[in-house]
Amino acid sequence: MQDYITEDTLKKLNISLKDQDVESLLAHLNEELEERVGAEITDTLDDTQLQALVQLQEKASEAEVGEWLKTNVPDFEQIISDETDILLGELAENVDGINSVA
Amino acid sequence: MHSLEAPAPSTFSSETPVSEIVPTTPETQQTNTEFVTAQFERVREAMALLNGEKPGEYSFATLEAAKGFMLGVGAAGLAARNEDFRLETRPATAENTVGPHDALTALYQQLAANRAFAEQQQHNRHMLAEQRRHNQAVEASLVTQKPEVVIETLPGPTMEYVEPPINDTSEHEYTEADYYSERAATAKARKAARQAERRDERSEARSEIYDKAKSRAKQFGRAALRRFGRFAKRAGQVVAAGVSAVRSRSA
Repeated sequence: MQDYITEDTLKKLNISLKDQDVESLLAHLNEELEERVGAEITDTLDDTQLQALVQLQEKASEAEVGEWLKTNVPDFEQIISDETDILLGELAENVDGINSVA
Repeated sequence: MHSLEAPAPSTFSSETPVSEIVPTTPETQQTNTEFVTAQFERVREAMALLNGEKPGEYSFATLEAAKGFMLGVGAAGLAARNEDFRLETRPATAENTVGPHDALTALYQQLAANRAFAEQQQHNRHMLAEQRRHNQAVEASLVTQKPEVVIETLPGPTMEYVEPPINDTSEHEYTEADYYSERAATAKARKAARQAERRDERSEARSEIYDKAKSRAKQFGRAALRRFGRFAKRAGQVVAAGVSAVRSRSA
């Protein structure tokens, strides 16, 4: 699994957790980001496009699906950027709470 | 001395010459005629005034009314005074012309009363108009005038100086959380705008394929994020930019 939000990101946000907790948090954050980006992309496509995407996803590679999304999803990069910022914002606002768990 | 027999009133008419209304002897005829004529003219002028005519200008109706008046008072006066009415032995003054004189006095009194009444009516009309104008002004002011606002003056808050604590940083310090919160707020606004635009375009409910695709959102998201390429680097760039921004604001 590729991390989009890394341990370095957490350190720069002044989040200090034990190693085990860091891994757990990063896994949760990255899966959450994938889910949010995927949900937003799905919402932007009409039924015909969704039908094509579902069929493509069943037989093509992840890279090919990514390429299709890059081509067919309006505001592709903006969606990813916004969802990342929103998640990082939520993370930053909860730094104290996260650190208190440690 | 000649005594005058009073002629029967029925013998007079509007056509009767004035000189016949008050009979005179040849000796007094001139005096009496002048006197009666003068009285007649006064009656005629008075009648003209009563009828709303200008002095010296009288209508035929006024002339007839004055003659009728003179006939009436003359006959009545003569009948009342009978033989005692001796115009020829008395000077042509009011004292010896009781009948016409009294009648003229009554006429002038009536005229004066009428004038007073007319003046009172004019005064009343003037006062009524004044009152009406006043009422209209009051009514207009009630419509346009705003109710008076009574501003109750309350004691203001007491300004009390409070000594700030040592090392107090009253000015808010810009933190990393502020930076990411701002970026998140901007991103949320853009996302909301996109969603609103989609709602406008799609009024119908989503189909079954939508639910199927939504269940695969995580896979789509992962593919998108990997396609986006160097995302980890981008995330790092965002954080680095945030730290840089914090440092520059804090400097």
